Amino acid sequence: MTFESLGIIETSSVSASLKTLSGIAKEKEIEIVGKQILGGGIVTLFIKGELGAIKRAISFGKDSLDLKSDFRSSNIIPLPHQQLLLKFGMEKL
Amino acid sequence: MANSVGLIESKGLVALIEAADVILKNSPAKILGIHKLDNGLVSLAISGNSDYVKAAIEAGTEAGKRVGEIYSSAVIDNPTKELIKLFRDLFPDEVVVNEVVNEIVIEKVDEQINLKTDTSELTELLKPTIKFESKREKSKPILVTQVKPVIKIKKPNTKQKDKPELKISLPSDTVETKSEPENIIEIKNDKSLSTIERLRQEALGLVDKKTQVKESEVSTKKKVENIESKKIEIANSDVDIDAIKNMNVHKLRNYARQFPAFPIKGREISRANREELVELFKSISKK
Repeated sequence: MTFESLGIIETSSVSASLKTLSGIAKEKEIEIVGKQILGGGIVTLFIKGELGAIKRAISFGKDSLDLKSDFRSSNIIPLPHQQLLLKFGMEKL
Repeated sequence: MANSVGLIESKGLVALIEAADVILKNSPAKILGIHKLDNGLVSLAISGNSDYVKAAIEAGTEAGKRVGEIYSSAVIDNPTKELIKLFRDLFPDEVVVNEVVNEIVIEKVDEQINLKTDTSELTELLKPTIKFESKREKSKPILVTQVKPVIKIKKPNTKQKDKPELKISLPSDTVETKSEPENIIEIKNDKSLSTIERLRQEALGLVDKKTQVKESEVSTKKKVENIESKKIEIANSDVDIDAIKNMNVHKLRNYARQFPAFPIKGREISRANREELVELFKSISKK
């Protein structure tokens, strides 16, 4: 039984988020769940998949960013609560 | 309990999602919703019991600070209806907000019902409480009375034991070295004591030497008197010649030693034969 975990990457601009997407695409076992565009250019990407795949994807995404200022933060939730993404207006994992 | 609202605000979704996950996993507080502000600020609202909300927001802020930036957090206990209306505008998860409003209303109604039930059942409720109180009131003093007398009995004994010993022991040291009038005081003290205590002191060796000497002198005088009276009695009393004829030598010797007026004394009695002793007894009885 494989538990699907959640990865979050936050960038400080839309172009940086596109760069991370290109980096994440190297890892093929993950799925991009959604994005949230906050004010001030902050874009958050949500990915789901196995824990190791998400770790790899996030590391690729970080590497693909040129400037340190583009990357804000990232987080991995190994076993997200069922209602978590519903509360944030996204589909169930 | 009081229904309360907790708020966490962060810049960026990562910290807030981490906080929301921790709150959802670890506490029964409900998440009212998420409100997006300008410039990347996001705020999260939760509701529930005040203790749960406080704990959840502490845990959430700590978890969020590990990952991203959390600007501020707040807990509001017992929010008013107007504040809840504002929340309804800010957090569009209406069902949850309505539930919160309903819960508050229900709590108030419950309190009223409880008050009514209390007033209606006061008479029924008070009776058992009074009974319990009466039982306690009865039981407590009995325990106290059971305990106290034992102490009361014990204490005076110890006092009686301790004080006379001190009174006697102190003068005894002075008396052995010093003058006679203190002896009189001692004797008075001794007279004031009861016989049982005197015996105790004698047994413990607490009585003074001089008093013992005096007592011994008195007792020796008494003994001498007793002995003289016995002599007279024995001298006056006739010797039982019939008993002597049935006696052994040893018994005769012992019998002879009882008579102070017996002509033979000491070892001469022990050397004497049975016949000699019988003759001597006969000579005494004739006199």
